[in-house]
Amino acid sequence: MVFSSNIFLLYFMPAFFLVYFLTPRKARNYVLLLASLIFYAWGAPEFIIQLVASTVANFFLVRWMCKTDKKGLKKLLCALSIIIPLGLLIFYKYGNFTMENLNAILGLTGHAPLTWKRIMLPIGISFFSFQSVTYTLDTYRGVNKPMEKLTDFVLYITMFPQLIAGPIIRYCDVADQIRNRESTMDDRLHGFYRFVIGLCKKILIADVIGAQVDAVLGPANFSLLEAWQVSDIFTRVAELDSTSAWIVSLAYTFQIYFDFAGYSDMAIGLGRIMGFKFPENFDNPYTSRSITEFWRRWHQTLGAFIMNYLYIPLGGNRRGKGRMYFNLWVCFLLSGLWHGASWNFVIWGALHGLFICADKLFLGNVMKKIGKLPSVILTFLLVNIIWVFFRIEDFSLAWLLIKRMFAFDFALLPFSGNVQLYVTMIVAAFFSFFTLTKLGQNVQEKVYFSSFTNGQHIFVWLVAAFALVFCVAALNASDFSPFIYFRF
Amino acid sequence: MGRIKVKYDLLLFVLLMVILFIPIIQEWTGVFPVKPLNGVFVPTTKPELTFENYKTNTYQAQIDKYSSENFGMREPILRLYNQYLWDVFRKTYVSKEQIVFGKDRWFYEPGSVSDHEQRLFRYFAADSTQMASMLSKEAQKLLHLQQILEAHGVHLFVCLVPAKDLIYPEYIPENHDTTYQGTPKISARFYNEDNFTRLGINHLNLEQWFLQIKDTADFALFPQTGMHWSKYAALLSADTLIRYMEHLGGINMKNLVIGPREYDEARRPDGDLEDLLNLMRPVRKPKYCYADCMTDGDPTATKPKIIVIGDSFWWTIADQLPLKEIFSRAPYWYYNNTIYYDDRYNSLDELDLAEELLSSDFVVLSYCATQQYRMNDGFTQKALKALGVKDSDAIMDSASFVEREIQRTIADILASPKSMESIREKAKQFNKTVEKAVRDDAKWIVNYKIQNGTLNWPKHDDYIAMDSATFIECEIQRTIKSLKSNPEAMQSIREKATKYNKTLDKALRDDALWVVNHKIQQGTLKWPVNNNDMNPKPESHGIQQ
Repeated sequence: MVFSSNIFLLYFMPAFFLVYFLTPRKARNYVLLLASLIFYAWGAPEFIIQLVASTVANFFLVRWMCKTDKKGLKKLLCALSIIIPLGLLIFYKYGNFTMENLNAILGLTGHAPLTWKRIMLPIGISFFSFQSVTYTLDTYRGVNKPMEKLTDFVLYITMFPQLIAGPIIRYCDVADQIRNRESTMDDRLHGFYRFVIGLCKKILIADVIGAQVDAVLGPANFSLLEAWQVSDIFTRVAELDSTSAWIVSLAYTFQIYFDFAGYSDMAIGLGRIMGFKFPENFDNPYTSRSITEFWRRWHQTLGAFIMNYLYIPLGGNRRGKGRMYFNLWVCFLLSGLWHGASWNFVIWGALHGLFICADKLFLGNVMKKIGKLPSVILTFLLVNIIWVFFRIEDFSLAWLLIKRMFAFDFALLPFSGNVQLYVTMIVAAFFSFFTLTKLGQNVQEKVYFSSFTNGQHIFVWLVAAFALVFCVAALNASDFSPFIYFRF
Repeated sequence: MGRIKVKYDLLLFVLLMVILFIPIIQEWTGVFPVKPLNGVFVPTTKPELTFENYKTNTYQAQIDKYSSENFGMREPILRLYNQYLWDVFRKTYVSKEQIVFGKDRWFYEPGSVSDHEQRLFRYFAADSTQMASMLSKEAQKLLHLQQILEAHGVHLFVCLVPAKDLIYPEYIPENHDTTYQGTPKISARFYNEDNFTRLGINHLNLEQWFLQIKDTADFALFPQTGMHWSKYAALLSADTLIRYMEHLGGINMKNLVIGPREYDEARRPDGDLEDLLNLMRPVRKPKYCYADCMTDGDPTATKPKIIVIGDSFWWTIADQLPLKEIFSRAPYWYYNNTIYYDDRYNSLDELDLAEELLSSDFVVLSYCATQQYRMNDGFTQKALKALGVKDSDAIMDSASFVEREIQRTIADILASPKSMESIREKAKQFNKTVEKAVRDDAKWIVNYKIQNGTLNWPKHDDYIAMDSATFIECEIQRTIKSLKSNPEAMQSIREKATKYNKTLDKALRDDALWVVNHKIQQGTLKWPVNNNDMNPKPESHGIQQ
């Protein structure tokens, strides 16, 4: 189940909150746990058993790990507790990728390819696997004590607001809130506002822009397409003028931000309604002055995870500059692979790693010298170009789009003057960059993090309620295309 | 202050929960009256929850689709969003498939605009040649059906219903779709009109009439935001149709009498395209003319039985006319699929088609230009079969028969070295290609056979549909032959030729022509089945008010 669906918005969410708030405080975690399991079972019925089983196993392994005094056993249990979620992640997420590459190598060496049944990727596995790892490692390091109640741990892993797409919540950040949290009316209303902001980002911006991106580039994964369909996509891209190519790439740049940030907003908002304070995941990443800053603002919880559980264990910057560059590059390479099991994600991660190293070597200084606005624009354009490799799985198609972007044959108002696309992109650009100004920062601070007066609450509530209705309308309007009368 | 704030927070939260539950309450109880959405669509059936469906995610996908069609308050919510799309972007989700937005907020059905650009055919045939061939074949079959029905006293005619693009082309947007660049283009409306006229198929071309009255009509013939003719135009057309039936059948029918006129905003189906947008407020508010329609109650008038096979345009007539006062029966075979009569729908399959047709007085084929590609939805073929024509695909008109004879003769010539030798010499002599010379020779042979009456015409049963022009030409040739065998007549013709300085051949043909015309005027010409050369131009006789 996803947040931007009828089932969630019209049935699941109202029913859940009604039951949740009518339930005595002590039993609310059970309601949330049950709802989370239903939420997950709805979208991935075949994987729910594995999810619960691996979570339960981890809970007991970590408890055992904490109880034992034997260092060797402790390490072994810690490793086992990490291997279980990561093993599942590797199997489900990288199984197909591994087999495809293995067969490619076999093909090159003249051997017959191996046959295998394609593995379906369970939704959210990348996120809850990492959460499970943070629990194990933080407990192993003594950052926090292990959970006492099994249900609390299962709730931590499966809590539906952040189960599918994060934010990746470290156990230490949420452990106390699971046991004891306060949900004021102010929290509930702010949570609702935040949820609606996220829903608007997703439905009114990302989906609208994404429709045009898909119309040109087709689906992200070509594996289900016929050869002629792939050929059509190549022809379409090859025929793009430079304006269109830039619009497509920019559209995707906005789409992925508003899609992902929207989902995070919805998760944070839903959590806040229940009294959870989830960490922020995005901080206006397109206003960054360098790729390094971009990664401090983009998917912050993933950045924190990689920093704490990969970069630092690899040695960080403590083992010389050469090793630091290597560590950084490896981290981003793996970060790319985490986003998807395909070489285009590896390229995307590698490019980001490359520019982060370049930042440390010289680019960071250059960006500082050229001033704020030019550095923001340059960073944004760089990120935009690198996103092409993230969106397009086929390298030759990605390269073709980049070539079209730099072919310098610009045209006026392509895409038949699709006004909705242009307007939505302007709105997206506005909200991507408006915190460059002091006024923008103040507005964001006010909307996201400040308390409201009664009047402000009423005004924002009305706007949010209208926006919610509007989003539901947008979600359903495209499916209704009636005829005047029946024709036989 | 704090106390008051807590209360406000609580109130807003409770209100939020109420809002979240309104769709569910409405879905279960329908407690709030809502205006239903316009248009028809195939509803999704409620999926059945089984373990297998659930496990494969089929149920989840289906229930999501089902809920999107059935959640409470869907109607006003969709209208709200459509209004936003329309006001801000001048678009809606239905626009691509259903509506072309023209200039000055005039709407067109996309097929109508495609037909205006003569490229609608590509949805029905591989190319324009194939389309032309299909339309010609259909016309030949229709002519034959007309002749069979005429022999039984049933008048078949085609009503070429106007389409909006022809009457109001000035509001069609430029460059609305330039995807089709192929040539040549073709439009069924013009092709059928030519075919029907050439073959003598009874037809009433309302399009041409609408064009004539467009600038002088009191009210719009088409609503600005609708695809069908306006109710006002439908009434005018009904009157003309009745006059045409009187003319065709030689009968007197009741006259239409229009009650007091009302001027109002669009009523259904006027503005039917706009209805599809499902907006909160109208796109525009022009006034249209509406009136009750009655008859003069003439007791001597004939009440014929008619069958109308047609598209949705007829609804506008059927809804307004007191059909039972004008006709003894007037079933409407909607797209030749469903019979609508007496507020009931029945399947056409339940009918004895031959009996139904032969017991009628008029069979009306009423399709607008964009629907003419549908070839009457197979009616002609079915009717011919029901009336005993074994192989309706073998039907051809006389021109096609003659062409076939020419091709046969060409084949004979090509197979004869002696003939070919002679033709090559002729070709050289007259500076023609051999192919041209062969065809000319074949044509001469066939013409000679026609003139001598030795061409073996197929019997006029279920095989050939001879058009009236060819039949008259045959009659002329027969008369010439007859005159030639009469020395007295020939002497007289020779004298006339000298007197009027004509060639003998010309004088002979003129005499034969006179004889045939005289027979036609006297009604003594023996037509193969019945005289079908009667397609007077439609004219309005004015509605009595």
